[in-house]
Formats: sequence, C-alpha cells, structure tokens
Amino acid sequence: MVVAGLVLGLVAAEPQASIRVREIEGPTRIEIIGTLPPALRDRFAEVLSPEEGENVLRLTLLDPETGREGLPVLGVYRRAPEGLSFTPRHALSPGHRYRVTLRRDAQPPVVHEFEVPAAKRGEPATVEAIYPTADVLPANLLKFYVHFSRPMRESREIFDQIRLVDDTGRAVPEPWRRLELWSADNRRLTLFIHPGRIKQGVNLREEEGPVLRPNRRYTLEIGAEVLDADGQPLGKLYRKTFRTGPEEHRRPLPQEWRVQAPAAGTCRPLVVEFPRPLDRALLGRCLTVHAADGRPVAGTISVEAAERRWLFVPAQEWQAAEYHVRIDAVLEDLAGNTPERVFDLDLTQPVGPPPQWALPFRPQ
Amino acid sequence: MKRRALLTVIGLLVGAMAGSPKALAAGVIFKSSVTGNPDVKSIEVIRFGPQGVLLVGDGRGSQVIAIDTGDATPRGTLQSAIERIDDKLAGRLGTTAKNIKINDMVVNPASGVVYFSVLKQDERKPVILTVDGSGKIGEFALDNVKYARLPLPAGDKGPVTRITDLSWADDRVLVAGSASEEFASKLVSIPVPLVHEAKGSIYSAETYHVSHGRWETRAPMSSLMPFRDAGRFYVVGAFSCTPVVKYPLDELQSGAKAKGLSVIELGSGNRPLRMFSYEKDGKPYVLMNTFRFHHAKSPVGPSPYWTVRIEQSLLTENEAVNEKAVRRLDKKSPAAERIQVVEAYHGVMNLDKLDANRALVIRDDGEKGLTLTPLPLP
Repeated sequence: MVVAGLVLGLVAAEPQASIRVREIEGPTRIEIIGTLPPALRDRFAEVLSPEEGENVLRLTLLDPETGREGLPVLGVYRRAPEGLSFTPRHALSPGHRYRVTLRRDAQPPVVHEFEVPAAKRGEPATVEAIYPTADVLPANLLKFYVHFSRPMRESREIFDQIRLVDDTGRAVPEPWRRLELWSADNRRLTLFIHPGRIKQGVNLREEEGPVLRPNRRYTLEIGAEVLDADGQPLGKLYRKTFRTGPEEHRRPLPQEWRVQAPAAGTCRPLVVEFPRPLDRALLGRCLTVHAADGRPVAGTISVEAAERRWLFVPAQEWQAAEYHVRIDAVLEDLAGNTPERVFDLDLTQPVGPPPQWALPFRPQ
Repeated sequence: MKRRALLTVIGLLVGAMAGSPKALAAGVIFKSSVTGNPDVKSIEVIRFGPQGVLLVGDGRGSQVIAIDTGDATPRGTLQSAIERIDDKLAGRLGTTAKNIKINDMVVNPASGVVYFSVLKQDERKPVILTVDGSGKIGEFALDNVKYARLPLPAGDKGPVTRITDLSWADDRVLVAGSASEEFASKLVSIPVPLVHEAKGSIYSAETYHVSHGRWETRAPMSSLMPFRDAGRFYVVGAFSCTPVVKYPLDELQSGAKAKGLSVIELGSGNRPLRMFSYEKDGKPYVLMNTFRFHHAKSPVGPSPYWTVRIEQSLLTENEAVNEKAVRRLDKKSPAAERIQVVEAYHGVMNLDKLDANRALVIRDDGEKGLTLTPLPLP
C-alpha cells in the first residue's frame, strides 16, 4: 500500500537489502532504490544497461484481472550510494498494482508490492457541441464535428460507439470512414460519413446505398461508453436529431453571398450571409478580411444562424475605405462542395461560372 | 499479359520498390540534420529508408521526422511468434494493453529489428518500442537523436493533419496525407538527400472511378507504394472500396494535379491498410492487407482483416485502366485470377516484409489477443 509522503514504501529484509520507493513528481513518477551491500554495489558502472539492471532490480505491473506479473518496466538504472536506483521512463498508471523485485546473488529475492492510487475522478467529459447545428441537413452530408469538454481517448472503437439511427430506430450499418481525425488537443473528433457511400458512381454506394436518404429523420448518438483520455466514460448518451433534405450538388459560390458592410468608425461586425450552411471548422479559417493594399485585418470571427452567417469584429475601428473578404478555395459546404468544384465532378456536365474569390465592401 | 510489359517489369524490378531502396552511399541521406529531441506531436506512421533511417509520420505536427537510428547492421530477425504482443509492449511501459494503442509497426531492413509506434493513452504520449531478433522489447528514445525535420507544405489546400502512409522511394520520400476539416487527398514528395526544415512539393491527387466512367473525385490515399515502370516514376495508391491507382509523378510540378489511372479494383467495403512488394520464385508480387468494414454483412474470411496477393505485372497496365481495370470479383476475367486472397493471412492487422521469404504480421487471434508472428510470404 502506498503511503503518502516522500517515502512510499520501505521493506526491511535484512540490514543490507531493502527496497525504497520514492516519489519524484506525484505517485506516478517514482524512483526505486534497492539497497545492496557495498561489495555488490561496487560491481556496477555508473549507468547500467537495462539487461544488467533488470537482473538485479525490476519493476513489474500486476495484471488487474489475473494478478500475473508483466514484463519489467523500461527505465534507467544507475548506481546509487545505497545500491541501485531505477527510474521508470514513463509515468506509472494510477489505480494499478506494481511489484518490485530485488535479487542479490544467491540470496532469496526481496519483494515489495505497492499500488499507485487511482486518480481522483472529476465530472465526466461532456459533448459541448455537434456541428452542423442545422435541423435539416443535405442527404449527402459529408461530416460531423463532435466537440468534447476534455481530451478524449484515441480508439478505433469510437466508430462503433457513435451511431446514426434512422427513424425506424435502426442503426445505419457502417456509416463512418474509419480514420480517426482528432484535433491537436483531442477535444474535437471529425466524423466523415463514408465518402464511398456518398460519391456517385462508386461501387459502395451502388451496392449498399447511401448512408442518409432524403426526407427522413435521423439521430446521431454519441454513446455513454466513449472514453476520455484518462479512461473515464461519458456516462451519458448524447443525441442530435435532424431531418434530411435533398442531396446538394451545387458549389457554394461567393458571388451569391450577402455582405453587410459595417459603419465606419465603429467596431461593429462585418456580416456575411450564405444561402445555405457552410462547414463550421472551415469558416473559422477560410474567410479573411483584407484592406485595399492586401494587408490582413485582425479581428475575431464568430458563426451564427446554423452556419449561415459569418461575423467579423475588427480589432480596430473600420475606416471609410475599401476592404475585401478573401475566400480560400478549400472552403466546403455541408456536402463537401467547394467554390471551385462539386464533391463529385460529373465529367458530362458543363463547367459553371468561375467563383469570385474576393468580396469587396466599404464601411460608410 | 503482354510480353513487352512482362519484360519491362522484370527489367525494372531491382531496387524499384519500397522495401528495397537503392543503396545510397553513406552520408548522402542527410544533407543537413540536427541533434536533439524532435518535437513529435503524434506518430501515426513509421517506415524505414536505407541505412537505418526511420521516417516518422507526424500528422498533428504536419511533419515527417527522418531519424538516423544508428541501427544499421544485421542483428537477426524474429524467428518465433510473440503472443499477446499488446500486453507485452504495455508491460514494458508500465501499463496495461487497454491503455495503449499500437499505431504502426515496421521492420528495419538494415538490422531486422521491429519498431512499433505506440500511443500511451493516459499521458497522450507517442513512444517508439523495438523488438529484436530474440524477442526482447526495448525503447527507441527520441531524447537525443540525429534527425531532419521535414515540414509538410500546406499548399493552397490547408495543412496535412493526418498522415495515412509514407514511403522511401529512391530519390525522394513520398507522403500521403489527409486533413481533419477539408476532404482532400494530399501527396507530398520530399527530395533526397534530406535537408533539415526543407519542404517538399505538394500534389493533389484525383481519381477516376473504376466502376463508373462518368465521375472523378478527390479521395485520400489509404496506402501507397513507389513504383517505376518503363522509365516512368509512379506512386501506387490504394483507396477505400478499393481501387488501386497509379499516378505518374515524374513530370509534375509542385501544386499540380496528379491524375491517376485506376489499374485494379479489389471490391467495395474494404479499406486497404498496408502494402509492399516482394519476389517469390522469380515473380514479383504485391501483398496488401485490408480491413473489411462490411465483414458482418458479407465476410471475405473469418476476420474483417484479410490480405490479398497481387501479381505486380498488373500495375504496369496502361490500356485496360479506369472503367476497364481488372476487378478481383469479375469471375469471367482471366486477369482476376492474378489477384488472390491469402487465407493464411486472415486476421492480419498490420504487416511488413521481414526478409526475402517472410513477412512479419500483427494478427488478431480473437480470444488469444494480438500475436506478432513471422509468416512465409505467399
């Protein structure tokens, strides 16, 4: 049992052989010192090879289910004033039991077991947002973004823990592209609906049909079993219910957007409105505001009206001058269509008008 | 198979493919490098170049790190299976299998040592572990290594945030990437010798659907392999559902679109995971394992993970491509017989070439857990 404080465990065997577990940084970062008779200690170099160290002192995890001892934990072995020091390379796992074994030539080994206390569990992670937020989504919707309140655990099982349920209560089989796409902080998961079931002319769609069909009601369910990075489950089912409209096969053309110029001399928002929702994450980086000389204007972006309205509050007051909004070609609508091309390019169809890549405005 | 094409393949086999990089003179791999701890955000893919150079695909960091491991002399290869490899790797990290995720595995062709990319979940920390010929598990620490950081160019299409595959290809490193916001297929070519902080060239890859002549689309590559044929340099990419497509790269300028030729169609409901080329009885093949996401509905074998052996000569096809490409499930086509499901590889989740005669695989053995085992090349 771990005792709080600097010295976690002390097993006295005989005066010249004992095991001491010392916290370096909390109970998961430790140093183990096996005391040895000087004659034995002096045989070692200052730093030992792992093999040499493991022959004398080893730390192992005890399997929580079987109690079986695992392989020796990796770490650094050094000669210490009292004998041999071992520092694990990686943090120990809270809530697990470990065994330290110290061997000295012909003597029986000294064994010490201790448990790293389970981490105090706070409130479970929550689902903070699901995009798109609209109640009606195109039947060829390409992706969802699920935002969590805490970093989540990477796992291929996530694709079974998040389900799409249709209006008969049946889970749509295999809706996802099984490639884990987490944000850098592991708090946002991008869930692509399998493109092979969206794209026209692809065998998967022809054989299995699309994931979403028009004019139906579906529920995205994020299972209570989804784990955060510490292994704690959400503990609660999260849902987003929506209806499907027709498939969207048009490009989101900037010339069709409405730009509301703000008043000069204010910091009121510039507002750009779209006839249909665009991708939330890309709206955060694909529209930028520039002065007439091309210089970018600093400010803060927000998105409203179910991703149909983009607002930009400048860091400094608008001037009565020419500005423009630039559009990055990568911007997508909810079906993966970009201003440049539709998600599936139909080679038999004529190419439409070119997109307007800059939308001018002038605060008055 | 056309005689001309067969001769071409035989003539171009030597050193043309991943896993058999051209022998480069010592010192020419790195034109510039630094020593220290590369700031790695994730280790999604690991591959080897020549002379023990480890390529670490870090999509979150939008970078590839090329590391001189110094592990460049033969140390013997694994001879017997290691059962419950996930338990054993986790045990060395002081944790349980539930708390790790094995992201990738690769054999260092220079030494025979196996490298694993493992994520320690509770710390969200990527770690590289090794298994030597005797089965001993160690760590390849990134604390103080000689490396070159190769940032992936964003181009006009946003950054790469997820690397799906990469490969050493003679005079360049090829990287296939995807993004977590936009749907895109990003292909990056980084020239060799490697220059620390030098960006490569980015291409966007477009695919013509095999099963329908009318549509063309962007799609992220799941797995890739360099390929030379008839004096031209290609990257062979495998995609979900499951076209195998070759893209000529030699004439491309950075930023251009690489238009692919679909040469093989393996059937819908599968996602390719890994492929490499090898030779058996003088004949070249490609071995590819896939995950069948329609396993429950229409299984290929007892596991959703199944493997296919493809006669490499099918990749040289330039006429019967796109809608005329050979389809594995077309029973009337004699060419379909050149694509064979390998039953002995059912359950293989990851694979690499171990030596001239064997592959090393991680196999899902159901109740018995994950097994790391050598298997004869089919």
